[in-house]
Amino acid sequence: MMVSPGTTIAELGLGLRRGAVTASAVVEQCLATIADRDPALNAFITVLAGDARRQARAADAELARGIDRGPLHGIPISLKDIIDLAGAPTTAASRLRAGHRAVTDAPVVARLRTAGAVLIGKCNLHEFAFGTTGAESAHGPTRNPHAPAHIPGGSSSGSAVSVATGMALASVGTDTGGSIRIPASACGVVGLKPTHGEVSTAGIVPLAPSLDHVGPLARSVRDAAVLYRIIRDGPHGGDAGADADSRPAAPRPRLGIPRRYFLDLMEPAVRDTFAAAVERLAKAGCRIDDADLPRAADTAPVYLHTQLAEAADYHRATLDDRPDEYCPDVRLRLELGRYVLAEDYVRAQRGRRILTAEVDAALAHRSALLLPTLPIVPPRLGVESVTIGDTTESTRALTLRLTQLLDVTGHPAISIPCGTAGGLPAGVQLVGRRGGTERLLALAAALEDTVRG
Amino acid sequence: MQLDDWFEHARRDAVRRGLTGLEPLLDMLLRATRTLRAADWARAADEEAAGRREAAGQDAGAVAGHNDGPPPKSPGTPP
Repeated sequence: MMVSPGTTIAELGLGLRRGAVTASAVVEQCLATIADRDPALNAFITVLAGDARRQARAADAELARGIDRGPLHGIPISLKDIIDLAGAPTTAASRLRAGHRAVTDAPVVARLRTAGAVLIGKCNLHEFAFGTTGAESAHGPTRNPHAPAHIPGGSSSGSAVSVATGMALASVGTDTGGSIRIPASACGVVGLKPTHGEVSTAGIVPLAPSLDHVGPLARSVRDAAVLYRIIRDGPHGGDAGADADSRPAAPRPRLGIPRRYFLDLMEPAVRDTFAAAVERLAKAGCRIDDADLPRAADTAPVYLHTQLAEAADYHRATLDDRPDEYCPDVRLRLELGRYVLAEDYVRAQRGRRILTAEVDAALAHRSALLLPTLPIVPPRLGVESVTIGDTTESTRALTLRLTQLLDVTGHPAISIPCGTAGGLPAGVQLVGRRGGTERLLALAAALEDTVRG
Repeated sequence: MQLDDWFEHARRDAVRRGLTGLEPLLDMLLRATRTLRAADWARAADEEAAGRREAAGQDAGAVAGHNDGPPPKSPGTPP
């Protein structure tokens, strides 16, 4: 059995259990893909070839003895390199972390290990997860596998590329303003940001703790669900009924499109791709209407004051002692956070409560909200601003525009590929109720084929 | 703090620290902070806080410029 970039965890798991393929053979295929493609794409900072081969042999031996650790048994998984894996460096894509070696596994890694996953390597990212392009890294930029001159999105850039190319079957990333969903959309894979607080952030270099989320990038919604449950609960985390939200699913999902602000600024190619996905969903029986979030335009300043202040707090000592070891633009944005006034940070927290209530209200009688993941086609590396009609906006602000609200409010959101825009992958987001990640995953799985078209 | 005062202080401090590249980012933060403070919910909270200070007998004049828009209109605010 050959592993292609489209092979899912479910398909591979079946092959492993039927004896059509071994975990060792799968790992060799992934390592061969890394050797072949990563020199051009730069998705990995550390490839753990020796460890991965040992873990794969152990997984094969266990299966031969009838020991089955569940759906991730023998499956190659990559990790964003801000997540501690015992014995390996956690570089955060920064020179500041040179010489670091993690002593213990982050809880999410320990859960993957116990579940039998093969940890194949640690992926490149925007330095300290502080950026959405994947361009600023001490290890050089990551490139989009569909068009290497373009950004792959970030900050979990290498994670998305590893999944899209077959270097790994799935990956664990983090999302503070959109850092799972943005690269998932740009690279054509699925990315899930669970409800805030569901998955442990211990052992992970923080960006802004009140906004940080941990979640999976995968090739299908079902694969993302498998990985989510295991990093949330451990090896037997297959309980799809673990939601706080136990309301029954609607027979014909009602989806609300928040047009105000979110659809106001969008490249025409993305607008067309999104419209086509909406049309397919409507034809498939979804009830689609407009959802209003009256204060959505306040999202960016609320996010900015929260994220800048919290990031500057974590980095204050190294900003003073070793400032030249940061990538220049990351250092400047961290320094900017030191000028956020306390009173404005407090105002931003009030704003979060207002925005959270608005999203809650929009979801009260709907199954989910539906919106694009990115308003632009992933631009070329180095492009700092994009002009849409009469408006020129920074690439950073545009890439965050449709995702950051859900980090501010903590609602679960998943990006699903929906075709291409301007020749590159595009994604749509489904947003669920807080505490309703499982329900969102069930809805996303039901709609995935229709969304993909 | 009045935003213009904050901005001038921040700009001078950045120059003193050799962070001249920070100026356009400070400009961006200034715009974002203006938007944040002008939000209806932020203004309402500021006015409520001013009311509480007044009720507690504090000098409302000390907070009249708190939110870069018109000062809170409440009985007893000094001219």
